[in-house]
Amino acid sequence: MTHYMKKNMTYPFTAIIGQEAMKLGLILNVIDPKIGGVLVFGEKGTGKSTAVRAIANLLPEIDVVKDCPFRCDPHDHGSLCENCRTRVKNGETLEVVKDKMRVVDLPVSATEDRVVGSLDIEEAIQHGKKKFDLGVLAQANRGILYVDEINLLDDHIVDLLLDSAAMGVNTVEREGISFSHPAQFILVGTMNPEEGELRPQLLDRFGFSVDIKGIKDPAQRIDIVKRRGAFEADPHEFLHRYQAQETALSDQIGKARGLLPQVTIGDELLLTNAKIAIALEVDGHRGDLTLMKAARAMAAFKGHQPVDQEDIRAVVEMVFLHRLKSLPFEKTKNFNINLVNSIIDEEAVLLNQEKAG
Amino acid sequence: MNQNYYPFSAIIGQEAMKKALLLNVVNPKIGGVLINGEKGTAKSTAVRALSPLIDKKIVEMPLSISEDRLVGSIDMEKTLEGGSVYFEEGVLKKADQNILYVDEVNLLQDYIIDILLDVSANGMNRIEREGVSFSHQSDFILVGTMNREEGELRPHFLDRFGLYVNIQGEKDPRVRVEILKNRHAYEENRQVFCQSFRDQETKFKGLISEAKERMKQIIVTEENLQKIISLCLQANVMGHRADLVMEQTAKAIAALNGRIEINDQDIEEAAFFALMHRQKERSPQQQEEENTDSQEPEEEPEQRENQPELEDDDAPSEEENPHPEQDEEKQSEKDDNNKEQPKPGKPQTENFEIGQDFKLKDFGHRSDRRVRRGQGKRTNSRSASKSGRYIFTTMQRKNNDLALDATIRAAAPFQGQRKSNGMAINIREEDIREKVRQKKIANLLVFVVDASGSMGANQRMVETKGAIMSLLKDAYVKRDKICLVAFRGEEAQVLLPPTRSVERGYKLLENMEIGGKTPLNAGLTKGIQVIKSELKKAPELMPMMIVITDGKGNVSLADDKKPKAELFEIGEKIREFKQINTMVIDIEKQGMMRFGIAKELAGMMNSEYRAMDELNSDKILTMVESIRGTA
Repeated sequence: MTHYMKKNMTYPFTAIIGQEAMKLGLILNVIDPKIGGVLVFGEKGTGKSTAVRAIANLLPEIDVVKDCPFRCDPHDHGSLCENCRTRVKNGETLEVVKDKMRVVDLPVSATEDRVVGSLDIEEAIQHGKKKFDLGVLAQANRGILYVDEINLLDDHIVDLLLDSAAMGVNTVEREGISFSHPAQFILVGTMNPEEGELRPQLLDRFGFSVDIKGIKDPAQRIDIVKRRGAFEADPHEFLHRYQAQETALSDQIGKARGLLPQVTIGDELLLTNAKIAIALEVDGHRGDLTLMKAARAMAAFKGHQPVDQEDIRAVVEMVFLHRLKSLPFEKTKNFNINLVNSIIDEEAVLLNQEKAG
Repeated sequence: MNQNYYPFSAIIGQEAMKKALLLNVVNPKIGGVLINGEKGTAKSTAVRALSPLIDKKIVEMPLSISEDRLVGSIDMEKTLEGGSVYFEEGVLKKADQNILYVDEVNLLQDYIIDILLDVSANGMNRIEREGVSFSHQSDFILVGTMNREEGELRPHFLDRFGLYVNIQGEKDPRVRVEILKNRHAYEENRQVFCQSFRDQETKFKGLISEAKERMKQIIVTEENLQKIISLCLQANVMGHRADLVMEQTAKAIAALNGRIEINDQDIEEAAFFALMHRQKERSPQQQEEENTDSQEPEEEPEQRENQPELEDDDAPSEEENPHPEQDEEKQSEKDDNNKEQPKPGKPQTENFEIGQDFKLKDFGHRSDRRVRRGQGKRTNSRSASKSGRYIFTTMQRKNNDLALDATIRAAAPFQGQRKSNGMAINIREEDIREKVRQKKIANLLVFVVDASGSMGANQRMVETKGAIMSLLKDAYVKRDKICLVAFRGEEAQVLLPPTRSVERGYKLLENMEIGGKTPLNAGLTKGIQVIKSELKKAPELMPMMIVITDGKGNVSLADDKKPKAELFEIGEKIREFKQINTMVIDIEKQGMMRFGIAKELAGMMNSEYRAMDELNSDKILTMVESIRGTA
């Protein structure tokens, strides 16, 4: 009975205790999917997958083109699949249905075929036609792609995932097929660094990373167990109890999405942003760009604009944690928050002086 | 899809990269460019941005490309319909007279590189497969981007690229802000952004076509050629390709500068682009280190000598002790009191340069004809199981691993002649093709290295680094994966997670500091842990753990165990892992008295054992090879 229930009921996002960084990371990605996903470092059983499923469930339903395998957005003609685009060109109106945001799981054993798609063998034999069998990337379009233990995936598959996530398109060139389709998704990967690393190039392409640990505070742990128990005993009642909070958060995210395009960021903060990246000695410019996007999403989430120092402070660790170079025998993920804070504060002082002068 | 590429003129900085690309556009005879640089520095962006400026197409080759898509194959659909063979063009055909762009070119599979080398040498793509014989012209400008931290390029392949540029992220915060703003504006609204750069782009376009026109009139004088040759000789480059590339590049530079005569500056600028990656006997990594004026690792023996002396004074008392086993605790106590003990706060560490590496050149070219290894590429083993990447097909049937696409393609041409059997396609026994699959990795060398304070004595670290370096170089040639685990103080750490990047290994090795206690047990455990998780990813892996130690561990994992007793327990467990081969390199100095713990450990683990003192290149090599042979 409970098993059945669990399958159909998702634990409410707002009922998750702790794991603030991860929750914020997910929210900001939902507000601006261009941030580039979240990589979660952490032990097993810390509610990673619960949070991912919960956020998808929290969000309002999206408009999708009926019967379109890619669940195209009928309002965004720029990112339609080939089929939908042809239909629009031919003057057809695309029928719209509502659907939940999807969470698609990618197992570690996944083959390239399953990820990018492959030739439909049956179709090939029976009709001598090339038909494309869609892969996980197609299913994940406009949803969340969740990869548990992403560090155990073959490098070239991680590459494919990140490529598609960055381009929003999956291009297949293999086995006599040349094909492309929209693949815009939020990539959430989890890994336990003790079981193998990801190449730095791949790390760099994740927008955020968060390091989560099991909660040590006994009182909080008791709360977690209690809530979980209450949920499993009577999910309906439990969901009902959190309904108001869920709706409030969902609304807040919705508003933030609307506000995002108008959120600006001043030159002085961009300079702060660049100085942080230089001080942390990260490679390349992806970190800067992500920090700016994240700070904007943060401002939108808080419902203000333009971006202020606190927005940057709130996201800076998530942006740079996985981009830091590690030195031998120094703790790898040692994020120097003091250094960053001092840069932010210094710039703030300069700014105030300018204003006063 | 209507692509609004990031405009070339909107790229801020990275002048060398932009110049190298432009030169190739102005003069395709230069032969392409390889751009190396840290991640996130607009490498791919710049290449793609060329597209609207030129009359060539940029054909991108994805890393995961299959041989079929690269060289072309039979068009199944048309062949089935028409009953005669239709050839479907591959990427090499599309790239003809265009630019072939490969991102992360250093991660390409070897068999794809072989094809590229072959085709770019001949300018022709010849296909002999599935009963088809076909060839077409394939003359392209090869543009590659890569981040060398992640793996090197074979020198032969490196030479194929006309030019080479090395780029870095921008260090000036104000410039960074400009970059950020442009990028953001672009992402917000591509169309509007591109529109705003339209005039500049048009200007660029004009510049390029003028330069191209001027190319035809450029005269190369005798003096020009002499200057070119002398620069090439000076740089000690291999082969004659450099001369040709220099000439073509200098021409393009002059043309871009609006001249029809080449001057000395043009040639010097050409040298900057054309010679760096061609210097003989040095990998580009070494050149770079020279450029950034770090010392040549092999040539400073004087400096090493003064460091370990203090340590020496303590050493004899240890060696005088005839009963090392009984005195284990005393020994660890002593180590604790030694000067190498870490001070609270920042641990006291020293750094030693890398010692003379052994020349390993002749090692390991013994061929191995076992199926799993295939075609002499040690790291790529043809897998007998059904896992691994599908690389091409065979008519041999032994695996029952049907390659349906190829089978259909093979059957297609004969459909007109064969009677229909009620199915859309009549497949006969002789059409059946099986997949040949390839696994990426075969060897993993995990070095477990003692980085404790005692390594400072008698140049031990210098020699150790030298020994590791020789093995690293060998691993590079063999394209083995390497991994570096060091132990010191209270813990062991994976300095270098399994990777093919010998460059990273080299840098880490160079910077590896020593100091503190000797947690050998933690080191071994960590090494095994790494191997286990790699085996999880790739069960066919052949791992080998090379432990470099004197065996005098003085930190145990469990508080209630003595280090040595625990060490042997761990050794026992490692022996049980039949899949893992081990080797112990004993760095304890020869002397009147030796503890011999490392030797004992080697026996315990059933390892190959060698003492550092008696080591020379041949010995390490034979040893590694014999272990590999038995894997």
